[in-house]
Amino acid sequence: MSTLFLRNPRLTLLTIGLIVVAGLSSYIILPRMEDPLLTERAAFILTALPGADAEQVESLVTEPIEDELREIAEIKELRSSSRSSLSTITVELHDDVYADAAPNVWSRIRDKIADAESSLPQDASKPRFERIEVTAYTRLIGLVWDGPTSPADSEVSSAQSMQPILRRQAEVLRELLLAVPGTKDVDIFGDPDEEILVEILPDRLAALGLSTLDVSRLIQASDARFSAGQLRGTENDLLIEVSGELDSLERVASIPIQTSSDGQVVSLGDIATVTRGIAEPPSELAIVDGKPGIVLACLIRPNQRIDWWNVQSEKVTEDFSAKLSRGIRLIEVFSQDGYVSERLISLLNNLLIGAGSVMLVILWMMGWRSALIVGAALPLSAFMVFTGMRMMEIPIHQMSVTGLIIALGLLIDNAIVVVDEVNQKMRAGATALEAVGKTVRLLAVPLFGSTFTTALAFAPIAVMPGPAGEFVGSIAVNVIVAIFSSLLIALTIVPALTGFLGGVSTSAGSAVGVSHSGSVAVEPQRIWYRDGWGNEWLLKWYRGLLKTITAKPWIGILLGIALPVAGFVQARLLPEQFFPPADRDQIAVEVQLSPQSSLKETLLQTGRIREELLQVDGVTDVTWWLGRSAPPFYYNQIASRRGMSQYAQALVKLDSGEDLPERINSMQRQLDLRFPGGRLLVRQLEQGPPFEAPIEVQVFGPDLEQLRLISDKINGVLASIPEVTHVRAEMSEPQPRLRLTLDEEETRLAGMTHQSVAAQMFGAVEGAVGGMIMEGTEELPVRVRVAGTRRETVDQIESLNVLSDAASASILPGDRGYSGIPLSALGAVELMPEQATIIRENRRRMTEVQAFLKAGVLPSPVQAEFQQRFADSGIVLPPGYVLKFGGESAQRNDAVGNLMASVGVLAMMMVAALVLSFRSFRLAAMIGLVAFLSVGLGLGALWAFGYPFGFMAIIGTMGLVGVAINDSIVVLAAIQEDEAAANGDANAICEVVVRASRHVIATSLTTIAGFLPLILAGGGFWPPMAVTIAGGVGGATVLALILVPACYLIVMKRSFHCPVPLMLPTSPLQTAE
Amino acid sequence: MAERLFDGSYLAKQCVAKNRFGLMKSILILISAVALFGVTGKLLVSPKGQDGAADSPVVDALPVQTIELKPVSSIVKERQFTGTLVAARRSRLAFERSARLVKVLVDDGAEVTEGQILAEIDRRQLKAKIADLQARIRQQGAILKELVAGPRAETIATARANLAASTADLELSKATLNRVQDLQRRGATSAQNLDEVRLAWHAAVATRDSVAMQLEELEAGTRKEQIDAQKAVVSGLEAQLGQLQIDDADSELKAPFAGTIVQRSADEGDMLSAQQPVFTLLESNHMEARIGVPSSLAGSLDRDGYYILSANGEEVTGRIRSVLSEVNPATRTQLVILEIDSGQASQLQSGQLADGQLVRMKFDEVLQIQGYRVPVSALASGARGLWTVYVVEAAGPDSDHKVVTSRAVEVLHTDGSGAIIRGAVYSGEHLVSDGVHRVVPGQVVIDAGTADVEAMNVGDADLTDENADESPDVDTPDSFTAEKG
Repeated sequence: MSTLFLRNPRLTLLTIGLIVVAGLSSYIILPRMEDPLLTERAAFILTALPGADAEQVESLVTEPIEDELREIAEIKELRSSSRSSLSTITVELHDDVYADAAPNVWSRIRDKIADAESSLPQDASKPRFERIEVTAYTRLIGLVWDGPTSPADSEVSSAQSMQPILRRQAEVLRELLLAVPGTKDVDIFGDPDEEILVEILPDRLAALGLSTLDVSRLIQASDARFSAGQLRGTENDLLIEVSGELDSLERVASIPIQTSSDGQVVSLGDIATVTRGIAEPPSELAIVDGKPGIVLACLIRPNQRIDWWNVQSEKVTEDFSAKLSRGIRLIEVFSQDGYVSERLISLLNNLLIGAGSVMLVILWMMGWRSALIVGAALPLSAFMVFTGMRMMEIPIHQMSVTGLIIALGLLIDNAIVVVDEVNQKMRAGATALEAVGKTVRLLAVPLFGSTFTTALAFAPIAVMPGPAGEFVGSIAVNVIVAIFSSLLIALTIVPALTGFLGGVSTSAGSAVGVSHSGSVAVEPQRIWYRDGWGNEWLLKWYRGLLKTITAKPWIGILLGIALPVAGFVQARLLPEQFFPPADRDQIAVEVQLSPQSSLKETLLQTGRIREELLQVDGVTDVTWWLGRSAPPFYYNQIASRRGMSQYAQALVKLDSGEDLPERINSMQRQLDLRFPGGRLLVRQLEQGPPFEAPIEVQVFGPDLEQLRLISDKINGVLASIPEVTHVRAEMSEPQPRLRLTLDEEETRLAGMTHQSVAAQMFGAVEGAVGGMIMEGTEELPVRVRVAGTRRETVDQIESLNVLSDAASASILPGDRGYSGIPLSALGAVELMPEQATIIRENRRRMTEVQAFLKAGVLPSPVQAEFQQRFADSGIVLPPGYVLKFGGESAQRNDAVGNLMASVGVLAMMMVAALVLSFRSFRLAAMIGLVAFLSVGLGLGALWAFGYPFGFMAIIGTMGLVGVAINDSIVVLAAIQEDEAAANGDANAICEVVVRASRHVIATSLTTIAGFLPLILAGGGFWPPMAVTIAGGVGGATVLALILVPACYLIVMKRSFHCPVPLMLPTSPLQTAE
Repeated sequence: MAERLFDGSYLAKQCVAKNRFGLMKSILILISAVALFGVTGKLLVSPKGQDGAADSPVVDALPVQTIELKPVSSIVKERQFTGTLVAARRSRLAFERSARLVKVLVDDGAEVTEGQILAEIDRRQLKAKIADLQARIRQQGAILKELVAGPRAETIATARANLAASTADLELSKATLNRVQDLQRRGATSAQNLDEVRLAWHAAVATRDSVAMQLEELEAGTRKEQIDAQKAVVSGLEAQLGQLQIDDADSELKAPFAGTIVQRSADEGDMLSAQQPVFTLLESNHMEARIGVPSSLAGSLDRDGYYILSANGEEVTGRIRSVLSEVNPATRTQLVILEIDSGQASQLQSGQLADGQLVRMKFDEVLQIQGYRVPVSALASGARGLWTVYVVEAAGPDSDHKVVTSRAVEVLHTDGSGAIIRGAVYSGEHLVSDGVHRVVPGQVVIDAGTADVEAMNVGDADLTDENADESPDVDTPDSFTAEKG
């Protein structure tokens, strides 16, 4: 069985063929994306309660829904924001709800919301449930009007008037894109609501005794769209239809509004102008290339290859673009494909470079023959990983490729051990068959053991719940798949290949370690490319060192722990950074003007900001989304804001992703100077789970006024920190509101009520919708409202007329009185501060102060600074008020908590594996010590290279533990195997260690070589992890070679003189040499 | 071989020595090498450029846009009220009697001049009546004349002759009687004969008296009363005739004043009842506007004052004729009647102003308010429903830093984009005018709106100017009267 592959070369060849074909075919069809898909764990519930203030919304709408949702156990966080007329509840599910369970939970939540509906007030709208997509759009395509503009209009407004044309075109393009195979959805951004606008002169309407509501009802009534039954004749059945559905503006204009007894008819056109256009003001806009445009955002299905899809969709857009009439231009705003291929190509390059360096190291250490065989194991393992990815439905994205890169350095180890062992046996005179058979039998269990412990070390990452786990989990999955594949290959194909090749091997010892009994025997001239590099002097020196250590073990211990301890000491100085920023050539700019700013004002300001940005060196394009968040163009962006006229977000394209922090800071500074009226945030895209602001200080407490005061104080403290660019506290933001105070007696005497006044005002100002016009497949609502110029100022509002409820009935045509009641006769308009938004988290009222930082500044020191300053300021929270931190630190705690959740069990499993294989607690404890010290080494390396301690470093550390102990296990096993050494003979130990050194150093060097490209590639994401593992493994070599023998001498002293049972068959990693 | 690795280096020489001293040394060297490696690594690879220029709080201060506070003493509020335009005279023209309409000379919308004949009704019956009456007048006049003229001479002569005859008869009877009496006395006759003769004499006397009276009557002429009565009869008839003649004249409907026919309600051949309107005529060069104004404002209107009215896009001036001292219960307003100046006759005549048309009266209400005008964007909500504004001032008596301090204010009035505030603010102070949502009290800021303008490049000036253009206080400068000092 163990020599099956050697005995049957065809099988070997076919197996290799199978692995290659399966791997290649998987590689070809595996979906490609930039980042892993995250489960949708968040959703909005939006409910409107017109006219209610924040507190009413809180108690009437938010609370009942929250109460219902409380029963769902899977909800991690319920955050609600109740502002006037609108309740927004954000539901976040627990991290351990996975993609397959989420739909079920969401449907239960929907049920609960439906249950809550019955307890909402009658005026409340139906709660709208909306899942928050956490996927970045694949392509953003803009359509802009580029054609002639009439000289009378400004460019912007005339382009805006072309919006309906653009919108229809966008609809066409949307259909085309949806037809591209693999398209999941195409959303349209910045499309205006087209509508038929009936602008009424209010006085004339009042003179007729009608309100806008009446008119809209009349329009609705003349819109015949119903069947009038069927003619059932003897021969034919025919449908009867009342003709006269609304089909044109003329038809609308000719609707009779009032008839007089003498046959005179007032038609709608007489008292109003009927136009077709866009809803004014639009709720959102997209500004592409400086002009109002429409953006189509494409989302592809997760199982698609983005590059293939992109080719097809680009063909569609090119064809469409060619057919576009002059004046409409199609602009590619964003395409993920470039980033994906760039990212994947650079990672795959890293993989190749890594593989190359690993091969070089092996060549240098072990000679070309071994390099060839070990090198063959690399692609084979990689192909098996691709096959595994396909079976586990892991797409090719930066995380899974990184998993491969990490595995590079590890998956060689098994092959090295096997090749060495086979060679050694064959040099000892065994036939290939014997050598291979023995080796496989001998090594199967120990190799499995070490692979298993490494896998255990990576397992917490693989099973980590939550978005962070989904994000990085595939790294660990791939590593685990890779090392098990390498184990499989190492035990089957590699020994077979070695056997085939081994026949031509020279009889010379292939490695220094081969020479037994420590004698530096005169051997045939070493040829480095055949036998690996060796150095006599170095060997002598090394032997001397080992002698000293075995003689005086404490020196070895001191030497061994010096570096790790230094690492632990320095680790205190490590700044913390949860996830590093992404080095994309894109940044996001957010603008928040004063809360009462209109979209017009926002349009004006963003236009200026765009001009300003375009003058900055390196800015190539600015695309704005007004009134809402930009469509997510990066995986962790969340489009959480909409319907906020004072808000805008821009996608700013730069020429490169270099020097981002400096450039962002200077842009931030410049924009702050030039636009002091708004809060402008220039933000770098960041990795990791999304958060609104890097620092979020939350205070929980019952009283709104008190919360506001506290939030003001916190605001002040945060704003005083120099690294903070902007602070935001929604609770403190003023929202002035006009209030019409009616004199109730006057109102009642005039035959009106508050409600009827409000309804009429609403109809006049906002309009009432009645009826629809069909234009092709487009359905346009007909909105009736007061002409725009009559509702722009407070004075004009006060001059509006309302109709007494009784008047409309009593007025006869031809009556000469004017029955409209001026609003100013009933009351007056005053400016009132609006009750701030009420935010609740998990049913507790809270206020949140967000702080935004300069680019390149880590949140954790600033947060510490805040805590310091907050304590110094002497602000004492009243009893019952609790301060918490959100933002990056909360996300970090969540992620680390998730990561550590399974660490305990897995660590116990590792301990068990070690103890059982060594049959000794002491030896297992030694390995534990090494594992612990290697963490210090990893941290020290992090410090030495100046990277912050973050999530990726933690992941690196976990992996490091699994890899670092392998060396020590090898050394320890070798010592135990040698009877003399096992009994504490210093010389024997020395020799055993020397023999193991080449192997240990070789595996360490290959690991480091594997990580080298990741370190050299730079950026903020990979290096912390790579540096941790590479540095830690490097240091762990020292631990294995110096600390372990020294420790062994001290720890095992008591057992030295009793005979030690030989552990040959079971000892793990029994000597490789 | 050693030289291959550490060619001639000091380290190599040291390391070759195998004694313990050398070993210790090499350990030290190893440690220091690692330390060196770490330090250089830190220097070389340091990914973040945090060691930039020392960030002083002033450099990092947030720029804010400010305005200088200037007091205002009054504000002007534009008010608009709607009413209807009414013609000063509006007549519904009708015939006074019921008759058949025979002629209609004008139609709806016709402009007519004063006295123009508009319609006629059937007058044949009237004419007949007049003829009849005229005949009767002639008849009665004749009678009157006859009465006035008295008995004819022949009748008197006859009467006189009759008298003479009666007198003769009397004398005969008397003579007879005398004779018979003689006879009687003589007895020559019977008593009966005597009685007969005596009675005959009495009869003759009566006859003669009667005839004499007749003659006397005839000679006296007709009685005055009789003439008076007859005169009355005649003049009565003449009056009837006059009435009919007026009716005749009224058979033609004439325009009482210049104006426009707005409605024609009968056509030729219609049988009109009395007073049934045939036309509605509007006076077109005199109009008045009737506008409902809330009582609170009606009092402040200037009686006899001139106000601007707009109707159908036309602006005209109107003078207040009266303000009715009655609140309309339905509209809660008082009726203000304004006369449209006849000076705007051109608009009136061109028909741009029409009866029943809606008209808006615009006037500026001046409110006396002592306060400061600020844009609404400068207001932040304060504690307990109050407002606060943020003032930028020096951090200390001799500090260069500027900080934001909050001041509680009260909003007295607003027009949507601007507000008049009062409170703990003083003239000349610099107020954060926009973006109050991004500053907090105590924050160090740069006053971008005023002091630091020159520190920024040229484009900034444009920006602030443009912003100022949009800010309402510059936009409508005339609506706020600034009070200096």
